[in-house]
Amino acid sequence: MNKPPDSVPVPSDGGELVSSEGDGVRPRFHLSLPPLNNVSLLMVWAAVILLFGITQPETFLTAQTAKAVASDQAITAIMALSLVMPLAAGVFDLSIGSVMGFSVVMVAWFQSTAGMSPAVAIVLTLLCGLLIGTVNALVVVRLGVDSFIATLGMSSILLAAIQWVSGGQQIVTGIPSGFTDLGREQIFGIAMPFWYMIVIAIVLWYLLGYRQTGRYLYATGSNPNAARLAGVRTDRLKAVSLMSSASIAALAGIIFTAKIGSASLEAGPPYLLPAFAAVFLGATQFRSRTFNVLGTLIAVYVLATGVKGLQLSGAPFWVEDLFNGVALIVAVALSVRASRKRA
Amino acid sequence: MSLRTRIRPRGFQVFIALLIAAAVCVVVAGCGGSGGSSDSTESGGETTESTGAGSDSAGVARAKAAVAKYEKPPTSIGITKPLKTKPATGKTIDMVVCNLPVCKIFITTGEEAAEALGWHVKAIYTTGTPEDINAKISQAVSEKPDGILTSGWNRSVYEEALKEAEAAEVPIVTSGTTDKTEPPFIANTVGIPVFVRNGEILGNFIVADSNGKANVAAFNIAEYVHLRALAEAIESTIEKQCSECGAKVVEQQLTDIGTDLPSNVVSTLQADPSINYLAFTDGNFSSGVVAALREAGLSEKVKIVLEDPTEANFPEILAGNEYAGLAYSQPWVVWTGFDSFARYFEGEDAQNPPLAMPTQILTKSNLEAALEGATNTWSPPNMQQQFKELWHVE
Repeated sequence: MNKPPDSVPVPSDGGELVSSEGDGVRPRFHLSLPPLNNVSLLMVWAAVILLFGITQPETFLTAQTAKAVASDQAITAIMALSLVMPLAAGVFDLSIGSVMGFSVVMVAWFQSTAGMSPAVAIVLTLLCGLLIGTVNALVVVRLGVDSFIATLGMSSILLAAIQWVSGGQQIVTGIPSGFTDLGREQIFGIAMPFWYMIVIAIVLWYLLGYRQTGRYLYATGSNPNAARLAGVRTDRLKAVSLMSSASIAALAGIIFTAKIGSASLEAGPPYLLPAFAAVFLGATQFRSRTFNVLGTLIAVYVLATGVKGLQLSGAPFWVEDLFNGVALIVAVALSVRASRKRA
Repeated sequence: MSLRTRIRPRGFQVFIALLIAAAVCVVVAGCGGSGGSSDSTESGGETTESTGAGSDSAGVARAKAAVAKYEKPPTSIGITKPLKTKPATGKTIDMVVCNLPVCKIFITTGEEAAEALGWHVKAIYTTGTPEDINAKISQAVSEKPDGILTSGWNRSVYEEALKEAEAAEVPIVTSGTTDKTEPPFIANTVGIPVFVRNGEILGNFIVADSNGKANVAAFNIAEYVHLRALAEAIESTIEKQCSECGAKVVEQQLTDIGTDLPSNVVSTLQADPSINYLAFTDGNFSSGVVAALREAGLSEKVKIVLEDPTEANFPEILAGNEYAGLAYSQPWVVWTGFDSFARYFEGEDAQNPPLAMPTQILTKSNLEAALEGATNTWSPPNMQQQFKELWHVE
């Protein structure tokens, strides 16, 4: 097989899929301002802050609110980040919610029931996540099962595994303070989950934006046949992306358990929809029509800011689900419509 | 190139999408809520604002008198009529229970009660969804036990399975629901009157503790209808005893426990900084709240009181992070359930008195003594012995 070129050809649909700084030349590490239309979420964020700042000035425009939003959405952001790589590679991972839920139970079980130290429990739980991702990859890549179906099936299997490991009981005691400190300590007044999310985001941003792996992932996702013909190992990239999404989701579960201090059996699945909403919404930003880290993060916090503002305004508990659902459907529907018009 | 043409549909569509989403939510929230309070009672969600000034001394005195007896351990299990004869042995009871830690207590205490009677217990766990509850009750019926013991779900959730039980003549004892004692139910050991009473106790406790300066947000999970009665009783008691106090019920959903509920609590406090008490209609609902309050710097501004503190709440109460819990003895519920079956099998009235359930207000100062060495639940003192005497078993 010929060695793939250092830069992968841009697909004929004209999409901005690679950082084309010249064939065969690795892009220089620099930041350039994106076009105005690709930063509309920032404008929306500003508008939301302005709206609720006017209507709820005493409660919304406070450092406490900002820190609360930053901290509260960290788990959601991590879960959304876990989806960027597989979606960039053109595969769905619907199992991340259950992976997170499974890791919540496992990391708690390792410590409270098996008596392991936090470090060992964390490593083993991450390995569990990696294993789940590997199984997903085998089913999708080797067996050829559609990723949507394969990961949906895995999700169901993990729900059963959660019940089996926990015996149907939440784990509320036996989690050492050394572990919960990892989720409750604060830096600059913001809890540690936020900072873990920042680290994960930086790593992914660098990998996807400035490494060959990232370019190949996007190429695989945009036109797998062309990428394969160009020498890109598309199957391997899909496998790696599924393994990474499961590992990051497992990490989210570990962080969640450290923050809460107990293992709920329903912890993971509620994060699935918000994660997908954020990633798809973020795909309209910065790197046009591609799933990207910065857009995803901005989307998470734009949605969270809107929900927070509504909560402070006295909205009922179901407003968050409503807001996420409506935003996702409308944004993706308009995106599909715009794509069809251009075609 | 004009600004309009530079903003391509892709970016503009996101803007429109989020504006539509926000507009929908604002409209729906405006239609669904009133006066800044979330879903509350059908009667309109009474929300009174605390002025924070002065105190209703007569109401405070009444509240203090009302809670005085609950600050000490109860002496009776609330059921005093002995069985006419010792019950027959060899019965099998299927227990269909939830998958929360409290339900593990159900099973272990059920096994203790069964052992005292010479009976057997089979545990069947359910996730709590209507589909699964139906399936598990149906499974129990198909096993043809002598009885089924369950708790917490109104019959409307599993009506299909109940028809099967009635057809198969399998008696069911329930608790913690609004259900009447109609076939196939032979008893509802903890009905709505208990939850109303417990709500009144908590409401009086808050009024007494705050000396008439309370503003309470009572958090309930919408799926649990019987706990809504408790939340409303807290609200109405506070309003009755204390004209300067405020109270509102904040509904959440089951999936919010441990996930969104803690941040929703913080948002509620931020929206109304005058709130100085948080009430949870079940100890499980406060999962993650202490941590969230600590992160938001609000720990010192509110006191947390809850009904049915669990083994997760006891350390928090001892540490002072949660202020008080109103005991709800799951072991008592189970032993009373077996008492109902024993009376039924011997041809006696299976339904216990409606307010028989004993309780105690647990605080940092009395919790260790009240638990009597147990770590996961509270029971009335000498409970098992009193039941055994009623059953003529020793």
